Amino acid sequence: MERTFKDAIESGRFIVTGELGPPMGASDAVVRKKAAHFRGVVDAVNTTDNQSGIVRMSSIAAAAILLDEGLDPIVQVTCRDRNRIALQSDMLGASALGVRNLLLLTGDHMTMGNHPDAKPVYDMDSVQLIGVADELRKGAFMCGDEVKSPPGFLLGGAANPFAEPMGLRIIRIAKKARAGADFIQTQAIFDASRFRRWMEGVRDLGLHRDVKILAGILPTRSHKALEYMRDNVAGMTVPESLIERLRGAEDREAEGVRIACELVEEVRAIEGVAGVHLMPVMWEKITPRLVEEAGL
Amino acid sequence: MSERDSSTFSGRLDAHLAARPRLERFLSGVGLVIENAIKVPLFRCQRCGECVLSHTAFICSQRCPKRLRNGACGGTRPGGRCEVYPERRCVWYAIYRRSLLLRRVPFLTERLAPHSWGLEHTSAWLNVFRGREEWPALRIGPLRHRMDMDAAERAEREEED
Repeated sequence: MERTFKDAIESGRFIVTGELGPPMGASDAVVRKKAAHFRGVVDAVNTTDNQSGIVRMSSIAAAAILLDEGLDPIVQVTCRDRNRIALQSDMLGASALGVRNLLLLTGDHMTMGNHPDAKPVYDMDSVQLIGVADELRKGAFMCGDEVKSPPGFLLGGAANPFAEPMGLRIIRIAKKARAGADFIQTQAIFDASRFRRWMEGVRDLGLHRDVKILAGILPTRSHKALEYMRDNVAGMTVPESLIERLRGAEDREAEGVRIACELVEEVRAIEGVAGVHLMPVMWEKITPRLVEEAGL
Repeated sequence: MSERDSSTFSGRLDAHLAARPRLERFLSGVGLVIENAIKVPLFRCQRCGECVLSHTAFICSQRCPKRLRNGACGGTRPGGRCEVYPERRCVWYAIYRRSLLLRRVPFLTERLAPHSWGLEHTSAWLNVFRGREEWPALRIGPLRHRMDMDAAERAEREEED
């Protein structure tokens, strides 16, 4: 493997992670094609776990394909669909396949997706799940029994700097850090000044020293995609001015890259930001160009 | 659930009740009737049997569609509205506001363990006495408003560094 997440975190350099949504089908070719855009360009790639509650290929299966392609996957694990037995079992299985990083989430509710009548599991929440994964790597199941050959994971959590109330969000990061999180990936940032205020709160508690904060950047060339995200994606805040800027642009692709580069530059200047998490939804091929133009 | 320890009151009570199913049923039934009469109208209690009201400024967090016990999810909509029911206020938003008002924010920083689902619809008060759940956070005192973890824990971490 050319680049790994662990090396990036240990080296102390500015970290770059990407994100890959598994396909709504059984084809591995789609995953391999998308993976090619990230190879050699980012340190690790998240594989999402049925994001927005829409059924897709499993995140662990997609991660296994990424490993085969020479990429270091960060497997997203949500509490929505699995209880504590299945979650622990899947984490062990992922480790056996070569997965070394997990992002542990509560998960979008099923009412946001295409199977709204599914039974919500939510056996535990993301803070508790991070704690369970931490115990697992230390060698104990939730019940206290010993794990034979425990998995060596890096553990992450998510944060939404734009959801109210901000104070409670920062308490949650503190809880995730204490539960054992090594890194935090944030929701997509479009409003850098609000993110800067949130980072002040994070620094006040010294949390940036306990966990690596990776700022979420969502490059897009389509104002329609932004409108869709504003209306349909949980916890997303998109300023109108940005939608207008893309709508009015002559070369939307270039404008999309420019906007993303500006955001990378702004968040990179903030003290305590350890890296960026790129989420080029439906636009994976832009990643190499973006990484180059943003000087990552 | 904790293991029975016959040297403590709760351990002995738990063992005593476990050996007498009819008495257990009776006490649990009486406990539930009293508890529901108080907690349902006052706190909109969801009868989870493992009460966290003392940590959540006396607003039942189990009204959350995801049953979260450690704070709001990332899906909260603008204005602090619920991801699942946009017409409702996020229950954690309300909990945080009231915690500020009642100076109970430090309780929000405590990490609560995953719920024992076997305790659903049992008497939380009886569960406390039986040692099946932790005592409620009853302490009041110099609870200054700070979002930080308590000083002892921080010192401990600094020592480790």
